[in-house]
Amino acid sequence: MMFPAANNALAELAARQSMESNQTQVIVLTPADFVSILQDKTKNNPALETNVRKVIAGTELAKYWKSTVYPNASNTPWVIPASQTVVDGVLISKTLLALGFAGFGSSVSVNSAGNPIIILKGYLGLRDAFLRGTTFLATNPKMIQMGLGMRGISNVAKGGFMLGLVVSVGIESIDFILNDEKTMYDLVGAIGVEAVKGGLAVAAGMLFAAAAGITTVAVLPLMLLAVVTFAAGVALNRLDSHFQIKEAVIAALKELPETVGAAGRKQAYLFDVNFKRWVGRQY
Amino acid sequence: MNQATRDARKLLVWNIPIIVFLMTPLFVWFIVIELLPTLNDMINGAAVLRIYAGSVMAPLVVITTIPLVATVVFKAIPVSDALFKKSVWLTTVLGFSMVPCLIFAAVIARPLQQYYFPKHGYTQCDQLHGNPTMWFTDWVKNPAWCVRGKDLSWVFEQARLAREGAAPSPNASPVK
Repeated sequence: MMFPAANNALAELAARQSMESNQTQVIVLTPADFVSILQDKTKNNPALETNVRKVIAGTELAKYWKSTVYPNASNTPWVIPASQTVVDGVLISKTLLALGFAGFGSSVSVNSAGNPIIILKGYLGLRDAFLRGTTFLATNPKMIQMGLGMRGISNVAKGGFMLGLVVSVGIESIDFILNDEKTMYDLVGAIGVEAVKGGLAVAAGMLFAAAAGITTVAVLPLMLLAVVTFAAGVALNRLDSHFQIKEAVIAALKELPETVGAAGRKQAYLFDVNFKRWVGRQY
Repeated sequence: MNQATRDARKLLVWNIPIIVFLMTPLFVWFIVIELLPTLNDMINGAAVLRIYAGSVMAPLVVITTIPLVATVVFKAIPVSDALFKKSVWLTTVLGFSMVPCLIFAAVIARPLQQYYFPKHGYTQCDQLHGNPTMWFTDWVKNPAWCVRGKDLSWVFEQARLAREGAAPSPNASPVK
């Protein structure tokens, strides 16, 4: 026969043992701390990184991105030339509106001091309030802002290219985060090839614009920059799809570690750990 | 020798050779590889049409290059004012005419295709390899040939087999 007090003591002991054997530690973290720890852990653990990427890729947002947003934004990437054309188009419209459409005949000339100047033509009353003068230095901030003169053209080209690059890199980076099938090779290859294509298209536009600068028609270089950049963008995209340049670059990047490793075993990329002699001294 | 002539001669050293020997061949290649075969396919009513609307700008760029280069050369020599003004006028006219062409290629071409091609028995297809994209639009004669991931040569092959009366179902073969 057991006493009630002993029964209670036994039950308490059993409960204590059970609690001790089933201990769980719970850490409460802020989202920022959690991401920071996860980043730290995934750096040295490829398996964990793969799992995290799979989890991210399985979310609804990632599925929507992969199925709808990315294919339309970047399947055959057109973001850079499209951004450049939009920027150029907006600027041409603004410039023509500011000049008044009679300002087509505005010309570039050189003043007595040898500095390039822009002479605005057309009815003064039709121009914007900030263009009341008739002659401006090509280095005038108003002219640069409007894309007139070679400095203005360079400014426009740089702005369009940078916008395209930022948008394109953004799209490719988000795709790398949300799409677990994408590797770093795809990311670097895609961004690299797109940047080169964008740069070449702008360079083509700049070449034509610079040549058109000799005609002294102030608006013509800006027009040629926009049109030739767009046309060159289309042609370079066709060139890329015809010769599969981007795919070849990505494939080459994927092979790079093996190639460099193989070469390194024969050449100077790796240290020969069995080397015994160093400039006449024996070790 | 004035500043403009000096500038023109500088352009002749780097700028013009790159335009003539690099850029113009690119656009000529684009015309040969894309525009002319597409026009040929349109005339012959091909099984599939891939319309690069932007390709219509390539001939205009090539044509504009000729008076543009001539203008720079005229300024570098320099020739008489009358001849220089004529070449400037021609360059300006061609340069400005490219803007409506750009608007046509970027904005008007697509609705125009959607009006014109269905009347000639084509169906728009945004499933073939390379789609979706803003650079080109695919049109197929037979909607059954609009299969995701397939390329143009596959469609032409299906059309050839259909003509020979032994066409397998387009959906039977694995998707590329």
